Amino acid sequence: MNALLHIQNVTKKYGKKEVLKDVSIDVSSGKIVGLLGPNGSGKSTLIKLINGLIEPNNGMITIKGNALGNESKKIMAYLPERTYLNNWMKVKDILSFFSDFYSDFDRNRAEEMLKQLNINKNDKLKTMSKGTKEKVQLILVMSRKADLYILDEPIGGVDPATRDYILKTIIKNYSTESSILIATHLIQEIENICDEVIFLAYGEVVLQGSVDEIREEKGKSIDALFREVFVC
Amino acid sequence: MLGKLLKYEIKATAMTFLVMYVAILALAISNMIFNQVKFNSGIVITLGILVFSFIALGIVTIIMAVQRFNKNLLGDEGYLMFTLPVSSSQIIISKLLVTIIWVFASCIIAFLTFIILYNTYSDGHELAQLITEIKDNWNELNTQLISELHMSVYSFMAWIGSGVLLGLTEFILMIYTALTIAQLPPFSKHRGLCAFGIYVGIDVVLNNVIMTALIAIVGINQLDPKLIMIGGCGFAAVSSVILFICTNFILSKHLNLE
Repeated sequence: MNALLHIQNVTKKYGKKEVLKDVSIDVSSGKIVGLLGPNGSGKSTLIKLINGLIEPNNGMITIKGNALGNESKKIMAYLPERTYLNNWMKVKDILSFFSDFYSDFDRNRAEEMLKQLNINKNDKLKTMSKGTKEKVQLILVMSRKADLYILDEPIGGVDPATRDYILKTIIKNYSTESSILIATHLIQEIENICDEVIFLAYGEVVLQGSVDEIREEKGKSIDALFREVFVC
Repeated sequence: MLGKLLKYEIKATAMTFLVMYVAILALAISNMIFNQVKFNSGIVITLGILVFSFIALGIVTIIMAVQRFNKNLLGDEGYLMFTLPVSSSQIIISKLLVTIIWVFASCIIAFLTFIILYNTYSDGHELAQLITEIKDNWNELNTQLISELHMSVYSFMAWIGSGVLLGLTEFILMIYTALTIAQLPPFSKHRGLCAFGIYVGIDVVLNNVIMTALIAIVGINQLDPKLIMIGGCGFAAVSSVILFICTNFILSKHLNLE
């Protein structure tokens, strides 16, 4: 089967500790999927595996039926939780960088979004606040016409207005050819934009399915369900 | 893609080196001017700072090699670099090449400084005269080299040049390998210290233990200058390849970004 993202029986161990146990997930095109789970659930590890930053001990991951490699990296856009930008660059330098390495990068779109958020192209990344750098990163990722977007805590450290802007941008990017995987704790905010959710706990998938179906079946919001499942 | 990686790597490092190059040349020229106007303290100060500057340039080059690898690949920026549609070998090569390019550029600056200082202190022994003297002795040097090493001056210079280049490559790759091993889980809590220790370890094993063993195998009586030169190049080349393979393997299969 040719799901956009196909994760099959993936296990990852760090030493003796099993961080992901026999995880199987399918994401098809045209979906916004929420990847939810508390700290230590294996979310970051799963995202690193999907991005090809680490390799699984068992199982396999394919993108459009192909093994992970340069070809899959060309069609994936990753927004990590941390700032990954080269600090010596100005905003216009990082725009050129993305244009150079990614043929699907829409520079005009990026410049438009920067203008909307009042970010000057000539500003040095080094002098920007963390929040502004995160906005720049988000703009860079969302200006790519990728098949799979992976956003790790995209609205975590930003103010409510920026949060709305980010969510609107994510929705605008929705197309039947691409999918967006959002890993987050802030379920209430993203619940209404997700088509599907995956709950991850202690390295295993405890629940996955369509948001509407789950809400109907469990009779509560995803946020409430999450709090119940992951009660401290 | 390698070209693009080289472009950005050069951009990231250019400012540091160009500033030092301009300072060094400015010092050499100032020294020349001070000599002409007989400003003695100026002469001494500029010479002193010049010597210090070259030492600083060497240290800065090593620090840059370490820092560019560590910060850009093993820190947060690694999340960007390793998700680019390029191979890890291309990434390693781009950093290695750019470091070598700066060392080469530094040598050119050193050469230019030498010419400026030679002109200042040669006391009438003009540069043109020096070149003529070298040309005159060239044939004699050629004959000697051919009889002792069976190679011409050009051959000899090529071997020495290769040896230096390969030695430099091995040195840089040793740094990369040490840094890469130190980011693995058992060492990652004390990366800096471990990287240094691992570097020393690699140096001892490669350049002391293995080299001594090879010399013992070949037999110390068999060693002649030519064999040392060619053998040295070969050893550095093989070491470089092994170190490259280690670094590449760890970065592509065991990357441990925090």
